[in-house]
Amino acid sequence: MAGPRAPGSKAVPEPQCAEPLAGLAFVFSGELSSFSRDEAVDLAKRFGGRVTGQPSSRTSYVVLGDDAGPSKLAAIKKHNLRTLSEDEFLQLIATRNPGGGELDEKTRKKKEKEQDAIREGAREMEKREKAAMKEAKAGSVGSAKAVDTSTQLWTVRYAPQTLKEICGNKGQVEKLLLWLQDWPKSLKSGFSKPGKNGMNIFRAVMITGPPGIGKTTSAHLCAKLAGFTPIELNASDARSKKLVELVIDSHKPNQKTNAAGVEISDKSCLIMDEVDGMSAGDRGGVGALNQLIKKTKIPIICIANDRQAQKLKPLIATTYSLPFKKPDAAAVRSRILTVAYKEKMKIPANVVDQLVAGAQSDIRQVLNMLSTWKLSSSTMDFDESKELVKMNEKYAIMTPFNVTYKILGPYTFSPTSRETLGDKMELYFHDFSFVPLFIQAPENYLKTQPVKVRNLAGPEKDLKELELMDKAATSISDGDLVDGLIHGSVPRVVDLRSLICKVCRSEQHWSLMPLHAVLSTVRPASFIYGNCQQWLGQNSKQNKLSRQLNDVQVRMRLKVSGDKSEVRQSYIPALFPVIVKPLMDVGASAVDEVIDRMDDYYLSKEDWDTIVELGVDQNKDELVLKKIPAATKTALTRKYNSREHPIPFHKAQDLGKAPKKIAASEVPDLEEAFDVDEDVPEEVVEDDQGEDEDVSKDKLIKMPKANKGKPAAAKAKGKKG
Amino acid sequence: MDKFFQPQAPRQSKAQKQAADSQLQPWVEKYRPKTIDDVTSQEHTVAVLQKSLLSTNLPHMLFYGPPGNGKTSTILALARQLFGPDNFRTRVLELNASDERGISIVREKIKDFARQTPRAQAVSSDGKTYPCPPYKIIILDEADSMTQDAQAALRRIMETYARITRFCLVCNYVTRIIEPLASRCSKFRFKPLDPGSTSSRLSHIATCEHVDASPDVISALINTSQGDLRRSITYLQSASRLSSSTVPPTPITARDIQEIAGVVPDVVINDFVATLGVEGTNDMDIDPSPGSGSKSNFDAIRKKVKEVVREGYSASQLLSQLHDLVILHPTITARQKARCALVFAEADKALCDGADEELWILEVALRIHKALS
Amino acid sequence: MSLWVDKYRPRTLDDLHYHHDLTARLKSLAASGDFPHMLFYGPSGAGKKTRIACTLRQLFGPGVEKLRIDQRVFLTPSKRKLDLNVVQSNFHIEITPRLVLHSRTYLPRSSCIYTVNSEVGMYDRVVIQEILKEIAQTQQVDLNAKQRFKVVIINDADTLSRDAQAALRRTMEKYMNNMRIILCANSTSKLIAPIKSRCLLVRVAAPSSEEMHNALEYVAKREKFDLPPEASQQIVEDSNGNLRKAILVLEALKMQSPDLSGPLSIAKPDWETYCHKVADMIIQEQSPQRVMDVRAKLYELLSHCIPATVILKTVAERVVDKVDESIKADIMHWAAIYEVRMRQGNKKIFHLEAWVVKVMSLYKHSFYGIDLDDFEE
Repeated sequence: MAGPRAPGSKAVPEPQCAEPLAGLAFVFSGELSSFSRDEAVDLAKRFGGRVTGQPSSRTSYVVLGDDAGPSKLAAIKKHNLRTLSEDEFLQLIATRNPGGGELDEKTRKKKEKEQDAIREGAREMEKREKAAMKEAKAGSVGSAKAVDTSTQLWTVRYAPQTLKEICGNKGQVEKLLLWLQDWPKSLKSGFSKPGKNGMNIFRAVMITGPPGIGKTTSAHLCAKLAGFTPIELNASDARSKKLVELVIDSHKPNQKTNAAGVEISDKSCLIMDEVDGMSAGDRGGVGALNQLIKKTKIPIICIANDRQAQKLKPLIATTYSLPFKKPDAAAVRSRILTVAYKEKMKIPANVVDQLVAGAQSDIRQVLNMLSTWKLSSSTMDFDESKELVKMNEKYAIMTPFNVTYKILGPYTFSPTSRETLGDKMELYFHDFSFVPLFIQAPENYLKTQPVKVRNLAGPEKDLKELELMDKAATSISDGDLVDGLIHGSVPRVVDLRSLICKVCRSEQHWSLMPLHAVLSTVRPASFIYGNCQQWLGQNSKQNKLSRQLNDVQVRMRLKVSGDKSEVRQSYIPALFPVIVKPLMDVGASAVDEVIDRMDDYYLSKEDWDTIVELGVDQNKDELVLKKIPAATKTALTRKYNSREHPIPFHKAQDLGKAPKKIAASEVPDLEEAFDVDEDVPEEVVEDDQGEDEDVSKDKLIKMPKANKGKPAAAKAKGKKG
Repeated sequence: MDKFFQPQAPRQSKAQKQAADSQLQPWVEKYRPKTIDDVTSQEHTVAVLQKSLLSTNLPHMLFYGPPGNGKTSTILALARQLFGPDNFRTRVLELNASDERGISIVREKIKDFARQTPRAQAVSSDGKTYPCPPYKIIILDEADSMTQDAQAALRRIMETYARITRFCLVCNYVTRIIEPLASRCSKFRFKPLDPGSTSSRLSHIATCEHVDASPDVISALINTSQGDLRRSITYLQSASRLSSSTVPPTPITARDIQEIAGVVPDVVINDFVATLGVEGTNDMDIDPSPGSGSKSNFDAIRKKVKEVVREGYSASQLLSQLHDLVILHPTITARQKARCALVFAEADKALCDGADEELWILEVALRIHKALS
Repeated sequence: MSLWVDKYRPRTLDDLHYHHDLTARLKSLAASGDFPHMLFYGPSGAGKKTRIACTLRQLFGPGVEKLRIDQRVFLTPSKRKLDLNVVQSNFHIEITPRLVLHSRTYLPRSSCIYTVNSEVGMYDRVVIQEILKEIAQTQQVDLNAKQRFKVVIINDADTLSRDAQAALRRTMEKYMNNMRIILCANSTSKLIAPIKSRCLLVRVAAPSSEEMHNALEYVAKREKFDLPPEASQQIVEDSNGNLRKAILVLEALKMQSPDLSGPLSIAKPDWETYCHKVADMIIQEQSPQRVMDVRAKLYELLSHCIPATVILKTVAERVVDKVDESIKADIMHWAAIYEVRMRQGNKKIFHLEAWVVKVMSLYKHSFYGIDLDDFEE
């Protein structure tokens, strides 16, 4: 999409009143000459108008620019809508003054009603606060923790106190309440009667949904309303298997407190917050929780963000799912307006809308933004809100392909580009592990025709091009260094959310992420922007070969003193002429000799394959295998299989030895950052048959004879195998 | 050959074992100061601690300074003097870098220990009376290698249990201790030892162990260990072990010490710098054509570097010796030295990051050569 | 029938061909009964492990040569299995911490991006501790053992993480009674000072040319053929102090041309020729297309388990041989710089490539006689 032809050529007029466009609905189509679409939409919103995507009968005006979409034009015709040009639109802003009379009755009534509701809500809050204060004062000085509400966080202060105050998800909350109220009954019946919602056969519910929509609040409220005492365990509490089990134990009648020191009675309700945040430090936590759920005598409410998360799989069967949705903007708006009114902040409704939309209906975030804002000012206009939202924006995810296209495409860095460095960095953050790779992938930065060299020719062009490439390559290299700092030496993949959690506590310099962004993506691209294609690097072969090489080294170890790289660099080229070349030159008759050699070094047929595979250049595996006649190959395989071979060792699994367990307490701190799949607890159980190590070793392990003569040893081995 | 001895070997008496232990005991442990008065050349700290011994009131402490100058010895001696041998075990918890000190340990082990109220004082078995104040001491050796998390977790513990527990953090780099922790402690800086006291200490040990250590050897010990007393003592022990194990015991030489310390011999260093175009120091080496000849400079340097690498000297050691030589060189100008210093710094960083030694020795050599020409 | 290098490996201290001072020292130490912890260091192929094996034999007699491999499995808290191959005899045990494998490595989505160090243990510390504790707690059961202690050999000690080294240091003191540790490393730079100070440092320098000649001749004599001095000379020069390599090359040569006379061309290992090809490509042409070709080759080398550092060094050596004197130093300079970067970063290829581009740029500029002023720092 091309930008406006003459950006900034027209000034935004001074309107006569605060909201000249109040009550109007706009649709924009086509490209305006002075404003970009976004800017124009902003303008309309700022001055009180509504903006919709498609024209309908309720649209007041359609603002038409160049190349307006044909469907929109058709719709205009159909609904017989008024159209405006860009200038007329500006004119409208400058002159319209909706005032009292011009606003139609309905809108005004609605507004008034809204205002009333807000005032009502605020009054109620006031009342409650006062009551709380009084109570605090009345209560004995020591016991009541009289917290001055003005020092509380807004999110705490304005947390809903009644069900009515919870925004959205009314149905789910009622279900939850009902379930809790029915709990004693269902407990008595042994969870056999499904009840009205079919919930009463479950001992636990799991509330899932995006952050900041009141999951925890609802859980607490419902628990209180149903007469339970909520016990909350969240991410700040250690929730390892042991601890969770302690909670189970505490159900024994003689024990009245659990591990966290909270009293437990049959009127308690356990709220496990942030279940998906149970990390490696809380080993086995989810499994234990699941056990707990199966036999609990108190209701358990689990709260998580993502029900689909791998970790939570065990819980799906045992819990009733209560997905919470984002409340609609209107509900949030009224709530926010109430709070604003209560805090004596003057914030127009359209500003609140902007905030709510920007935060994607995350009430908590809006409240946080407002409370921060309140520190400096008690009014907020449209522009300020926009700024604020931008600062706190949540981002939609683009695919790496789009990002690569966008950043290496010709526009992002062109002089007319309006994207700031920050915007470019945002591109990187869409998928910070992939994007640098994409940029680096060959056709991306090497195949681009750098725009900067277009005007040069001859050697100068070559030089310049090389110079630019050099800078880009260096930059990528810089980027990788930063990447190294971020990720540490242990590669791991972290999703953005957990990343943010870790910023605070990890020593691993996550704060360098933006730097990585600039270095690995933005900067190289800035040197060589141009056209691009996609390519994804493939590196897994290295891992595979490296593993195989390990096997080879381990087997050769009894004979060879070199380490892995020595084996690769010296031994394999030296072995090649002995165990591969004869097959190429002599053919099947050399097979015996080759196998003898291999046995000398305890090499198996698989290792032979590895050695061939590891060849490069003239020893490249394809070339080599081509030169070995198929008959020889089969001869090798057949003969190898028919003969007996010395075996240096048996895999421990074969020995049936129980794996040594590394004590959990001895894990380094880093462990917390590790991905752990919790759903494989069965794996610990190894067949435990091997009691006597020595015996099995004697049976299965061949020892080279002490005599210096090797052949004797080989024979001895053959016998034993 | 010793059939007589063998059957008994598995059931050795305990006394025998302990005798063997004391023989094998590192001299560093054997000659650790027993009281804080024995601590050499840290007058200020010792004076302050003496006072605290009298008043038996101790703040949280933070000892810092270069390695091997008596930080750990001081706190151990102090603790011993405070509690005596009997209570030492129950009252002092010593954790160093080899112990697990992640956040979990801080949360559990340290906290548990800090939480215990010390038991009432018992009469000491050796008849002496000890002040035995009503608190415990937790010594965190090499505290600078604790993670930030672990340090942060310490903060509250230090305050909460201050009544019954004192902490002593021992570290080399005070900057690696997080600010909130450092501010809770009174800091003591341990100066590097002066050669005089080091040499007297070494001579003392040598006499006790019946080792023949000439002044030459002592000075070699001090030079190679750069003020680190522990290192000098360890070297001395290794050297004496080597010399006594040869069939006719041979006296220790300065060269032995150098070899044990992994120091590159002066000859090698001088030869190396000559190739780089550094003029030999006052003892004129027999060096017919430094850098000239048929081959170009680059190839000459490369060849020399390869030679040195083949000898297997550690690159960091080589560079630090090169550094000393270049920086203290009489005829090189300050500007040139500055350039060289830059190279050394870069190389040191690179080596810390695990860079290839050959490449970096070559890099340093080339850049010194460039700086000097 | 093993390769010569293994066939003629010295088995006792008396068989060793060079470093006689060191041999005498090791002998007396082994006899003294006060055997310390030791740290053998020196370049690859100088004979460290051979010397360790000989010393062990001196200590325990031929029994130490009864080797067996034992595969231990450790289970990490995250349910990952770590395989560790342990070579042991009744008297000693040898571990290579770098070879701790994750047999069930959890490969994340973007596994293709990271070179997953399947062999790295962040658990090396735990593994080392476990094994040492186990050894230290088992008394020497063999009544015929000459020594009361067992020996633990740790290969590649310089690749141990700092954590592991710190753990080692404590263990070294604690179990001095019935265990000795022998560390084997290429360099001491990466070992922490406390470890170094607890060990007797033994430097094993690479053999000199003469010593290598002798060793080669010894092999030739045992194999009953004449080794012409020129051939020997050529092999020694080529192997750069690595005796293992020299003997391997000797055998390869002997197979190639049984009489070893006339002009010999030492067959380089496949990867080395490949690296040289890369170097030649860089010099022949400098263009984006060429960079891509080079990258493909580099990828191939990397994926065939040639360490990036080795690639960089080999290519650089070759390039340096072929270019003008004026830019040699610069090329090596950048090689050094990018080598460090490879260590610090995660993706080797980025840095290799950056270096290649840098060299191309340097070369082109010197070709056109234009100085790159911004290349100086």
